[in-house]
Amino acid sequence: MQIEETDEIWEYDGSFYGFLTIVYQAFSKKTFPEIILTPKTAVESLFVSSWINTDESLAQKMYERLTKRLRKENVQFIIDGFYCSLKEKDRCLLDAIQIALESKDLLTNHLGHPSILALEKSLKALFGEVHLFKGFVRFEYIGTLLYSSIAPKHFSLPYLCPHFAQRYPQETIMIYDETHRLLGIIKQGHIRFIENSNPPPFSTRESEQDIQENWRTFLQAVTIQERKNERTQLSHLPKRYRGHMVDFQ
Amino acid sequence: MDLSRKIEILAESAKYDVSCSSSGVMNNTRQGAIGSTSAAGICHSFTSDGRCVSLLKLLFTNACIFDCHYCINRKSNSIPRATFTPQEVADLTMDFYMRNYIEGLFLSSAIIKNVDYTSELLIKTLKILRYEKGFKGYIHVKAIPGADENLIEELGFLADRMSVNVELPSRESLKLLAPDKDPFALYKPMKQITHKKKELSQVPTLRKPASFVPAGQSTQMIIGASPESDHSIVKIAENLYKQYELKRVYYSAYIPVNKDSLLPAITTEPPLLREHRLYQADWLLRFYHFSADEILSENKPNFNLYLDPKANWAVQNYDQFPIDVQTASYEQLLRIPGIGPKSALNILKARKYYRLHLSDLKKLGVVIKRAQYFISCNGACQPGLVNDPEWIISSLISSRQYETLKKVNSQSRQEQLSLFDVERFETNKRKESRYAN
Ligand code: SF4
Repeated sequence: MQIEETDEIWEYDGSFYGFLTIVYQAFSKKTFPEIILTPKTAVESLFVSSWINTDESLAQKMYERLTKRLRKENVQFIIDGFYCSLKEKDRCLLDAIQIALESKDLLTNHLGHPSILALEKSLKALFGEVHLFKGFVRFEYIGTLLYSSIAPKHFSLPYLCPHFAQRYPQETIMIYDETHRLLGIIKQGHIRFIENSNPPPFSTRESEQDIQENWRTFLQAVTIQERKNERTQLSHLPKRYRGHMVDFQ
Repeated sequence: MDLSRKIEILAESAKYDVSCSSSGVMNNTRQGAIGSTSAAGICHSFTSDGRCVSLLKLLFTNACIFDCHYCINRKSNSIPRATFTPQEVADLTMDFYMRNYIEGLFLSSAIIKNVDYTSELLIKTLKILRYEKGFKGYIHVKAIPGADENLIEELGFLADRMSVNVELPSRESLKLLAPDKDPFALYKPMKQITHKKKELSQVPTLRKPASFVPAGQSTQMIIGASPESDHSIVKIAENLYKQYELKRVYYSAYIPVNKDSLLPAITTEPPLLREHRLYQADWLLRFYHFSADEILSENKPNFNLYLDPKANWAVQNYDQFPIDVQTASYEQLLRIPGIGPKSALNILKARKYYRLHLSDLKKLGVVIKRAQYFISCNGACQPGLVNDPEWIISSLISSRQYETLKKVNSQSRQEQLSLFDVERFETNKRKESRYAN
């Protein structure tokens, strides 16, 4: 398909359906904008953009078409790509979709293309953070509910929840993402999210203090002074995670 | 004694055991309602010595009836003693697991009363966890050498991984430094676990097979408490991998904890660099098709502390190079410094369709800076290279690296010799054997 590259600037609401509407527009008009903005990124930009209204039914159609025509891995790459924190991700994703439509190859084999490379790098950062959080999330019991709050750099929470759903299949769990104001709720393995949420107003129970203290005692006791190496510790467990970990309080 | 004091004592006592990581169980077939095991390791915290914490690592008790010289818990030391109850360990594990502090439990123990009694306590702990608490997460437990076979088997069905620590790399050292331990009893449970695993894997079953030590077994050796050469240590590791199909052998630089005439002085620095070289050699055994005798030999029994064992081998065997990457076998490629299993595979794949060029190798993951002295490609070598082994060694180690290595290396050549009073060790050995005969 011949696509015309223009110097237009498009703006949308930042939602996934909004993005799919953009995809629809771009491919039906056969034009790619130079820049795509969302209300968040538009603040920093001086340019005048044209606003694209989110159209759910068009978006739905676009989504079905993509899942039919692209291989599974590439659809996943695009969805994950939408959630990564790359600044120009929307524009890169248009390129990715075009490449995926034209070749049956895995997108990850196209690292030669700057957009794919940028997306892949950003995805690595996202998944890397998810992996670290699997270990670094700390829960406490609020009544019978397991609660945790985190401040991830990337949009990690949705990728994190399945892990904890499997780990604690019979519990009710809440994880609050302060950065994105997103609340994840896992109830006996089922996951749902509340967007634009405030942190739930919980206070810690007394008995949790004991357990947290026991944990700190343990950490202190297993430290080998002769091998002290805080730089290694810092590289494995960067400061930004520590604020939410009882280990360091 | 309150729980927190027990944790303090019994975690402290267990900390020198390095043989713990939580990865390696693929499909979790255990019954239970809480927890899962993950094939990729998850680290839950890092202590300020930089080591990963993934398991609740505890000693069940440190009130030992044995008197191993190198051990902080030996009977003749006057240190605070504590013993958990099975319920306490189980509760603590669940408390920590539910809050995502840990991936599972690593339970070891000193010998209390006798080996069977100790094993029974461990079994009881694991039973509470598995059956009463429905815990499916990871458990690594120490098999107590000398315990009744039935007890070892029972423990094996409850745990994910088991280990028996060899501790010292030779029978002589064991006899001398762990006088209450029977060196033969050490290898018996290893053998038993290997056999049982094999036996179970051969039984045809319709249902999922019972989980018996699904993550395999591992062991640990203390390095630098006794005078064995690196060569003999690597040889033992090789045997353990071959004979007992061990998953991992861990090496732990000895940190002097006791004043003892048979051991390095209390002020001796732990030989961390030597430990590091042993781990590198271990990789060569497990993933690079090297044999122990290729890595080191009777004549050259100790590591070159300034050069990693693979580069060292390559320089020693410089006549076998350069190896042509266009035609070399996978095994040959693995011998080249700067080429790992992944880049070796990449080379095989890439050269099927293309004639490789030296400049392609970087893209395939080869570390050119190291590999350049040892490779050719379609007959061509990197231009301008000097092929004098001495010169290669000095260019493989940058002067900055050399300086840092010199700093970490706590054993200079002389120190390495004076680490133990070899003579006294020899006389003691003679005395010992007189009694033994
Ligand atoms: S058996 Fe030996 S090594 Fe084990 S705890 Fe007792 S004294 Fe220490």
